Amino acid sequence: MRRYIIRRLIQAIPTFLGITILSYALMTASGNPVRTLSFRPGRTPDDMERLAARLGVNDPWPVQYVRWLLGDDWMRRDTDGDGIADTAIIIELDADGDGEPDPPGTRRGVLRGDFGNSFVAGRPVIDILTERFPATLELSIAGITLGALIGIAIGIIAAVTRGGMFDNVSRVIAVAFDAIPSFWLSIMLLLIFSVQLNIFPIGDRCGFTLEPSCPPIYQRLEYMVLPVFVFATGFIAAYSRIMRASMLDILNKDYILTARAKGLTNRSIWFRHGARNAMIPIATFLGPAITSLLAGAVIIERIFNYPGVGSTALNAALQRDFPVVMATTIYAGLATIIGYLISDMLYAAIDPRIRFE
Amino acid sequence: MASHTNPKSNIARIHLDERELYHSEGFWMRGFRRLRRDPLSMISLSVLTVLVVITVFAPLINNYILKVDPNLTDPSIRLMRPFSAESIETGHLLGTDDLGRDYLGRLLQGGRISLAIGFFGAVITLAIGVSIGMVAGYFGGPVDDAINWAITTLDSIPSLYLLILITVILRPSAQSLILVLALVGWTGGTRLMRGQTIALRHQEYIISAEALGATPWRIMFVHIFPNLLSILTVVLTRGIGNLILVESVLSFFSLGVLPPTPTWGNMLTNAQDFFRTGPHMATISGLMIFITVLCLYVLGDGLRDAFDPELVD
Repeated sequence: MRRYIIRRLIQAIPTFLGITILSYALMTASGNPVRTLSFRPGRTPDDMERLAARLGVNDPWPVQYVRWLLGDDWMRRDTDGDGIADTAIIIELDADGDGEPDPPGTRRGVLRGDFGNSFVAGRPVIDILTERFPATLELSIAGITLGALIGIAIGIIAAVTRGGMFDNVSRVIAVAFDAIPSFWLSIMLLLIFSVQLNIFPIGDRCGFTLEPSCPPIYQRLEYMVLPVFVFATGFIAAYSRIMRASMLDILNKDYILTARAKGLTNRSIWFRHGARNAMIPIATFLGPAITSLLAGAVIIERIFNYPGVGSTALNAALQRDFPVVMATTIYAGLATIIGYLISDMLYAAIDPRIRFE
Repeated sequence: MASHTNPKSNIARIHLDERELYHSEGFWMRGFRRLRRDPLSMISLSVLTVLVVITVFAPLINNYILKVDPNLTDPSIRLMRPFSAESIETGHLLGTDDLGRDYLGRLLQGGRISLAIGFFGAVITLAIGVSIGMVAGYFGGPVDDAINWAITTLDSIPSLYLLILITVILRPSAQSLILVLALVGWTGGTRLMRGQTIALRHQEYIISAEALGATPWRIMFVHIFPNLLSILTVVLTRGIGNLILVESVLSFFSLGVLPPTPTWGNMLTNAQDFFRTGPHMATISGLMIFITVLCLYVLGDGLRDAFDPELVD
């Protein structure tokens, strides 16, 4: 098992590098913002050009990529502590060509969590992300738990009443939940329950930044009902489908027949013998679940004004706040990798054959 | 059979068997016969046909039948309710939007664009998927490894995040949005086609074709490709629905097709601001997306069952 885990971890490295290369390439395709960003009143075009050169716009792109990924604080260093850089590797000591050594590098690079500052908020991107993370976690844990519980229950009932009314209705609902645009479902729920019936509030979870005054979760449950439900629909559809298929498969097994022959009650057969074994394929769906747990739901967070990672990504995109967009993309990629790693490991723990493939 | 069977029915059986022998039903015929027997699939197919016809001919319908210009704004008739007395009187059956544009006209025009993006996007996605998938599955080795790495990498970024990143940088038009959707979405189809090709690759008829000296390209396109067609129709149907959903999300967030060009997605963009004054704006175009995607998914499931070679009827 340990060897399997190590192998899977090593396999994840090229994937992660691929993600960083892809997002960096896309980012550069949009033009390097250093020139425009270095504009300040009173700076001559010459000054700006020098500053841009110092920050690396003239370097070949592999160097720029490494600089972005690993930072430049180790590239141009100040070893004797007089505030002037004296050693440089990869990049030049005097990149702007003014005859003086440039100031030492300060960026720590994406791998060490330095995504730079947000263009809009002017604060480190990593601080914004860590601030928004709890809201995402809150919404997704509630949504996935609800979705899994309902989905698994529906799947079991549908399988044991196969071909019956409940089975057919639940399958139709599963397809409908898949096909319904979740942004439209959110809008319709808001229209019906908040505007017409006035049962649930519209609006913010706790304003757009997480104020310390935000009340504990049990005092704002009414804000969570609609977004959590919309979040859960996808999981209800997926879990009920997987669980139904798996349960039908198990119910045809010989040991179920044995259990029946022993005279066990239906309830004991369905739950103790059937459902427990039928839960195994649920592990395959755990990867996407963990991903959305970490990366959040862009659409739902945005419509219900939930200040999580997903809505941060979308708002940053709309404001063309590239450092934040980059950070959220890489973060979402990392979340996916982690999701599949955990799901694969669980699967290998359940089914030993996988480890030796 | 038992001796007490009626000899007459035996003769009838023999006749039937002969008919089946000489006019044996092909794979496609059997598939479509099964599909015809599935009421849900047939309902979906009919709804989709109607939708395609009215949206393809949307400009003609708007011009000659409804006599409306879907882009003409008129502040004096803002947010008219559908089927109200004044909307019927002025000829705006489904009312007007927040700028006084005819809602039905925009709905048809928008559906034309949404469906076109879904359809052409899915076709291009699958074209990429089939060609790359067949190459990866047939050649294997380093080619396969490289393609696999690309697939795993792309799949590791949730597609919505990737789409947001790309659309923000490229600001696509309706045409280039199709390409963006295909470039982000090709991995699923490729994965599937690769798997199918690997499964077919070692079949005896492929090996004998190789023994006869057929080139890899001939084997891929003449011997493997026809066997992928039935899966392709299933994937295409679901893919169209999926892309319609994705396009609507992007356009809803002003990252896809931008107004004044209507799509079912961007017609919902400001819907939340008009909950009280014009709830039809929040309802109708979303309902159209829902119905269309639902029909495509149901039809996709029906096609999958109809072409399932393991099912016997």
